Amino acid sequence: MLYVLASLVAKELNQLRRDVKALVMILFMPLIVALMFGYGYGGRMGRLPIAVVNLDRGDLAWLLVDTLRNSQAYEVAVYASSVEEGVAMIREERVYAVVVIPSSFTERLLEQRKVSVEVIVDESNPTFAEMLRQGISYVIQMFQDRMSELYGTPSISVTYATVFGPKVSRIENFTPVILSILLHLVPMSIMSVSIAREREKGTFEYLIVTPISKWLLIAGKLVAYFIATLFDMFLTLLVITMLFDVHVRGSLVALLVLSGVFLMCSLTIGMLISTLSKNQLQAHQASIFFFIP
Amino acid sequence: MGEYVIVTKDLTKRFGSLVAVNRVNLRVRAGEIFGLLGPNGAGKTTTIRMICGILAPTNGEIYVLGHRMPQERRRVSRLIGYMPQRFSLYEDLTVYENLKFYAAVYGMKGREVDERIAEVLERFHLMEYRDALAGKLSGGTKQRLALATSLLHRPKLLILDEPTAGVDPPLRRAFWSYFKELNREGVTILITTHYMDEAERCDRLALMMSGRIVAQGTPGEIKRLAYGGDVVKLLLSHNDRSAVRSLVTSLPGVKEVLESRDSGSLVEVTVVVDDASRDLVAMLRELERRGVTVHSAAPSFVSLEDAFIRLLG
Repeated sequence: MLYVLASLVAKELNQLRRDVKALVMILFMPLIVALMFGYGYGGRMGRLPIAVVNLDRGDLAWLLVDTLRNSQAYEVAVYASSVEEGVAMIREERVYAVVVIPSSFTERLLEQRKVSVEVIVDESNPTFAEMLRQGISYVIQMFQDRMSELYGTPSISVTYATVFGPKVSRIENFTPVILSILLHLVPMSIMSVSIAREREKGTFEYLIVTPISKWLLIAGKLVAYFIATLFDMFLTLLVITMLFDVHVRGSLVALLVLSGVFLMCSLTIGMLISTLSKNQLQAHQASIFFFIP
Repeated sequence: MGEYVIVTKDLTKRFGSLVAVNRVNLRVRAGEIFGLLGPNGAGKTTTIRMICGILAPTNGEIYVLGHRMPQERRRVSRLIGYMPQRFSLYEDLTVYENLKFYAAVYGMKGREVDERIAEVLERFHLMEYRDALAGKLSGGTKQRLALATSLLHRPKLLILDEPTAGVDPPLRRAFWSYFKELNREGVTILITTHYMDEAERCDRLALMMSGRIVAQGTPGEIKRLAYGGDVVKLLLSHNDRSAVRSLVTSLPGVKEVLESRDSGSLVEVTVVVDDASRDLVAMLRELERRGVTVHSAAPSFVSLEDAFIRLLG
C-alpha cells in the first residue's frame, strides 16, 4: 500500500521533472514575481528617514534632537524650517515622519509647564507609520525621564497627526502576496491539469483496469504536488530573505504549518477542477478563473 | 461456468439514444484465442471496455473468470491484462519507469520487480529502449511496450483491443507469434481486429455489426453459416458448355451455384452443398450419369472476408 503510494509519488514527480512547462511555472513564476517586486519596490531599505522642525532653538530643544538622532529605527535626515516644509517633504516621499518641536519648548520645560511635541507620520504605509510612532514616542519618553531628573516633573505630551504621502509599497508587504500566489495559483493549476492530462492522454484508460484504488491514486497526486510546491515555497522564501533582506516575523514553524494547510486547500480545489474538466486547457482556464477573485 | 472465462448475458450499452452494444451474448472458453470482429463502430471496443470494467453496462450481466463485473473489478483486475486501442502508458516516463510503476501498482515488490521487468524486456526485445522515453518510441515499439506492460502480472486472460492496428506486416506477424506462444502457455486471449487474416488464426470468432453479434463460432463454422453449407469447387467438361451451369443447379443437394467460369477446355463451378461428406459422391454420380465428365471435386477455400461480406450483405 505504502509502496504503491511511493511509486505513485515517484511517477508524478518524474513526470513533473520532464514537463518543462510546469517546471517553469512552478519554479520560475514565483521567483520572477519576487525579483520583479523586489527590485521594483525594494530599493530604499535601512533606517527610515524623518525630518525635524525645530521652532524653538533653545538648549533643551537641541538636546531632544540629539536624543532623536540616537535611534536605530529611523534617522534624522533633514531639518526643516517650518511645519509646512516638513509636510511637503512627506508628500515628496523624502521622509516618513516629521517631528515638530514647538517654539518656547525650552522655556516652558524650565518653567515646568506643559509642552507638546507634534509628530506627523506618513500613513500611506501603515507598517512604517506604526513603527515610527512607537520609536519616536519611546525616545520622547526617554527624554522626559531625563528632564524630570534634572528639572523636576515636566510634562511632554506627544500629539500625532497624519499625512498621506504617495502610496509606496515595499517588498516586505509584497512577500505575503508572492507567497500566496505561490501557494494558491501554482498548486491549483498544476493539480487541475494533472487528472485532466491523464484523461486527455488516455493513460486513465489503462490505470482504470489496474487494481489501484482511486483514493490511492488521488493521494499519490496530492503528496507529489505537495512536496513540489513546498519545495518551491522554501526556494522563494530563501531568495526573498537572502536578496531583499526580508525577515520572517513570528514563528517560522507556524508559517510553514499554516502554509501547508493552505497548500492542501489549493491542491484539493485543483483536484476538483481537474475531475470536472474534459481536457488540460479547460482545467487551466478554470483554475485561473477561480484564482482571480 | 468453469470452462468459460468470459460470459456476457444480454449485454447492452446505450449512449443516449444510440445503442452501441445490443444484447450481446459472448462465451469465451478457457485457453482459446477468441476474436471479436466487425467494422468500425460495430461496438467491439465498447464491449471490451465493459468486460474490463471501465464502462458500466446499461443492461445485462458480465462474468469474467467467474467474477461479476464491474462489481468485482478490483479482484478481476489482477487476473486480466488489457491492452487498449490507444497507447495508454506515460509518454513522459521511460520504458523502465513505466514498467516499474505498473509493477508496483500490481503489488510487486523488491527484487521481483526488476526480475520481472528484465524478463518482459527480454521477451519483447525492448532491452535497448529501457531508458528511452515512451513517447519517443516508434509505433511498433510502443505496441510492444504496451503488450509487455499488460503481461507484467502474468494475467490468465489477455484482452487486446486492435493490438495490430497501424502496425507493419512483419511486426503483425511477430505479434501473432507472441499471441500463439502466450496461448500455448495457457493464457486465454480476447482480441478485436478487422484484419481477416488475423481472424482466420483465432480459435473462435464473434462477428459484430451495429452493436449485435451476427455470428459466433470457429472460422469454419462461420463460413458454413455464411454459405448455408460446404463450398465445393468442381472442374467439369461437357460438350455443351452453356448447359453445365443449369445441370449443376438442378443436382440434388446443391443449394446454390456461386460461380461458374471457363477454365481452358474445362468449366469451373463453385457450388454450395448442404453437407459435402454426405452428398458429394451421389452428386458426382448423378453428373456422370447426365454426361458431364468430372475432372476434380475439392472443398474450396473460402476466405472469411467473403463469408463476412455475405453475412453482412
